[in-house]
Amino acid sequence: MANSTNTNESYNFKVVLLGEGCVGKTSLVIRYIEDKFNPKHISTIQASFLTKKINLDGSRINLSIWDTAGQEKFHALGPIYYRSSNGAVLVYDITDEDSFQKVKCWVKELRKMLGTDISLVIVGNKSDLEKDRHVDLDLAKTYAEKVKAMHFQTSAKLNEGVEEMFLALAQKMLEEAKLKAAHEISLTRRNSQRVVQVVDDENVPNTNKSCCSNS
Amino acid sequence: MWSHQYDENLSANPFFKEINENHSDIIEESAIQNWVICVPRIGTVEPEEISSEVILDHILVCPKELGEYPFFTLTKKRICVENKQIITNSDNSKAITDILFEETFYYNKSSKFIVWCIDRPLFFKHKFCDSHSSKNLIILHDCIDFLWCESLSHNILDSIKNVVSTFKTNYQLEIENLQTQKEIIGCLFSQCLQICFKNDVLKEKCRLNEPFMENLKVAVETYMQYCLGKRLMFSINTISHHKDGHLNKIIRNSSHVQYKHLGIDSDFADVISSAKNELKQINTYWTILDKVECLKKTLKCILESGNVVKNCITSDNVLQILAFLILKLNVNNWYANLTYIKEFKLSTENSDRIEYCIASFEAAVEFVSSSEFWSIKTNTHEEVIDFLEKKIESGEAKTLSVEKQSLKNLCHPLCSCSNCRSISKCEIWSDCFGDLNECFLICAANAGKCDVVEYLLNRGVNVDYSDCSGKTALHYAASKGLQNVVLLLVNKNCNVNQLDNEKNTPLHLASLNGHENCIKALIYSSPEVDINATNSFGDSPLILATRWGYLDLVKILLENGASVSIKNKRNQTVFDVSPNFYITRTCEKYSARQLKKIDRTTESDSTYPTNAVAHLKDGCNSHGVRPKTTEEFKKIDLLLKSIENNDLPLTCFYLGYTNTATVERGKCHPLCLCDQCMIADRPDADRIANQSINVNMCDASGRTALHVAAEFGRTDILRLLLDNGALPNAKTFRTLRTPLHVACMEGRIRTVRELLKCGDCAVDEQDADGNTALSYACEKGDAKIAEVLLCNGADCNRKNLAGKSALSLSEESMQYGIYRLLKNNVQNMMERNVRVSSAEDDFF
Repeated sequence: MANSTNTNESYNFKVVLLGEGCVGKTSLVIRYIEDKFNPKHISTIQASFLTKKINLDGSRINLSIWDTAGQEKFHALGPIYYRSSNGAVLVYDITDEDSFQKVKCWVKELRKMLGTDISLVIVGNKSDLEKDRHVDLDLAKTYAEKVKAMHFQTSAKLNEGVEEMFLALAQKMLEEAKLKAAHEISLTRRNSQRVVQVVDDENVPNTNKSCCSNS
Repeated sequence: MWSHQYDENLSANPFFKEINENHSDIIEESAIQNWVICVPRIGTVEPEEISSEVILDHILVCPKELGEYPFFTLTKKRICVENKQIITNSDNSKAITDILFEETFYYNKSSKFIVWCIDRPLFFKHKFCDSHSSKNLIILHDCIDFLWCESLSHNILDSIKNVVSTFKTNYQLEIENLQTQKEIIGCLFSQCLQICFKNDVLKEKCRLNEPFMENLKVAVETYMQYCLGKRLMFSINTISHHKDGHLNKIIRNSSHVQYKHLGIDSDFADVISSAKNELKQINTYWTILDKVECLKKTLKCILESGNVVKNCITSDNVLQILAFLILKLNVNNWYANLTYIKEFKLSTENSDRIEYCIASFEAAVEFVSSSEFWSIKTNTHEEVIDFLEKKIESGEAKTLSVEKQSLKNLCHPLCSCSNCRSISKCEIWSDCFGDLNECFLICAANAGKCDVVEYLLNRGVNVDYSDCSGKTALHYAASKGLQNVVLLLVNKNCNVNQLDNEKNTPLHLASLNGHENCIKALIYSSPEVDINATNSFGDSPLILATRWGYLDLVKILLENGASVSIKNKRNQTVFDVSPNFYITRTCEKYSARQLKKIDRTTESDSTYPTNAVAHLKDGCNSHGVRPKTTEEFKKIDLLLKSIENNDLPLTCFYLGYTNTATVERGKCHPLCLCDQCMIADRPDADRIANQSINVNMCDASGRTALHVAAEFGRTDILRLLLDNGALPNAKTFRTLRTPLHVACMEGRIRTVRELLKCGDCAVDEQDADGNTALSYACEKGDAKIAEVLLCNGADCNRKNLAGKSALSLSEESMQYGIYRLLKNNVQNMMERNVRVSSAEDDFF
């Protein structure tokens, strides 16, 4: 039985997918969103923006997954996509050393622009091609640890590790969000939002005064 | 999936609660067996209807093998799932139920089950009429309906309209910066909301229902934006005019970009045309809601094209297609539109979906204006040019007609070596154009190859040859911004006002594409350019430059006499097409000047006064000669400066009164860059001497050389000017002052004497305020000048616009010496030839 289903917390998380052109970002996200036991009932015809609702022990999480353009000529447009995102999935191809270097660039850029507000997960995709591996697993793991990111190995083709990866990321983002909320409450600081104040103009009661009552 | 998304908290759903609390075995089993639990949305099932049977009807089992009906319920009923819909087939009646959303529940670390929230319960007999979609405000029309229906009167709409129209007359929004504009609009918004809260019906509904309140805000905001209409967009255009102008130049100069340059698959052709149809309407909407809806529809077109192209659409595809659309649509204010959508949303937060949509467009716009885009190589004529250049270099092309023969000389009919490829390309070209040499010329002009163009022209190729679209080489060079080619062609006496099939002159095309350099080249190097030519749409170059927001071009065109009053075939003037405040203001400035000048221009344009003496007959009412080109503007400024500095030799030089023989020497060729030719090109060298300035040329405010000489008391120069035919009574434009006025104001007695000596000087000329030279002398209290003026017959009774004569002015300013002098003068009116020196003895 699912416990604590009574809590009502609801979160919207924005997750951005980053990585070089052919590392398999698209297939990764499609694999996650698509119903795995019947590919027929959802026809995923695009992978640029997808949403997924999950419920983690009573906390409702709405994941918006933003794919980014992988071609090098679009690199400079990154900030438009990743600004104000809660999490980033940095994908490299384990058979392609360059794609891992690219991930390192992204990590640097994200940390510089967004600081520690963003939860990172580094993903070595195409683990089914173990024999062609060019990126050392331990090296990648140590690097991930160094930059305070999680590391996962996935195979979108065989559907290995994909769901686990997104789940772990969601959990991480949830923790961050809860920490942040607690912090904010302790500071009793509220985000200043545009509040429209409703001023209740008091209706002056219309008393019927007659000036010449004793005519 | 791009429509509004239904959402509810399932843990509050009674159906799900029931399963959770009383049938936890089902949940545990679902997690193990991968069953799907369907939960009808809240409110569709009454609590008493929920039985075990009903619950089992809503648990779906997926069998191992996939068939036509892959799902069974736990009650063994078959169902089919397709396109996010559940199709049930009970009692021979087909029922379709929407799956609203899927939620995956994770619990106890490793277990999970899936829940589908569905639009209504499965296998229920009774009908469900109410749709889940609560009232959504999608477009302006919904908002107006909402305000109208909910308040049950027209008052709210009218009052908002009134508030906005008062606002429009009271505020000058366009001169403010972004932050201030946002604040002002925010204030207006709360003002409009207040109106709604004064309505008791609405107030009550807001109190009871929070979503209603949100809807009300959206509706009010949208209606307010609609009432503001063009005005708000105009103000935002003004903020982003610089960025938009830059982007527009890129857009206008990328007309040749094709799918392949951006890496778009040709399968997308249909998708692109339908997306284009959506997106082109963006500027017909005034509200954020409608604009966002337009962007959403466009993106939807693209994202749903996965079916057509049999491939998953990625962000790369989206960006490429959006970039292509931006290039091909005639939208001139992308940055302003995005600023509006992003910054001026006041009521509710955008959903992630909309954010993604906006971000995609933002990224595409950013990409188009980035250097990455510029580096895409799109030159299509390169091979032909290479071929030609090679020929010319090797001296093979002595007689071009031979080349026609050489085209047959392929290695073999299907050879694709670089030489043969270019030969066959040339052949294709010649087929299109008929005449090979002319097609080469156009090709070379298009590619900006000056040397090739010159080579061809020197061999007698027709410079005014026009291709099938009616464009000449000059058209192509002007539209591409190739200044060198334009200069070369103009130098070779091509027709600068040649019309293409749409009646565009080269100047039109240069204005359309924002090529400042070409416009200057055309205007300055060729006096017969028709600056007010209209194309088949009735647009003048000024209107085109205005439409695309090229402020710098607008200024140049106006300076060179472009008319602001031309109307195109849609009956629009520049003021109607002007996208921002800066351009409107610039045009207004020139429009005022043009109105004032109308008399003068008709006078002086017909007889371009090369000889100043001809102008003397015009009498006292004439102004100086206005410079026609910026070159002349520069020159007149230099001349006036030299007079100010009392530099007589330099003044003579500028005016061309020199004896230094100017060596008439041609350049090696028109674009030669050798040292000697460069010297010949220097503006301060003999060119100025060759084309000396008209002595009556004036600057922007109408001051001629004579005015300046009078102002600073440069008597020698003044005499020189007068001797060379300077108009002694030239007037400035606005103040209408003659040199005599200026001299009197500055108290230059020698100058005054000199001016009066010349004989033509009108001593009683009145300026814009009605003052005569004598009035100024009196005001200043300069008795000597007054005396000289009186000696020359100045009338001391002439009244200015304030009704004061020189006499009363001197009395007022307590210049009694002058007053008496004047008084005396009046008394001696009858005997005018009285000796002034005796009068002088009396007073001093």
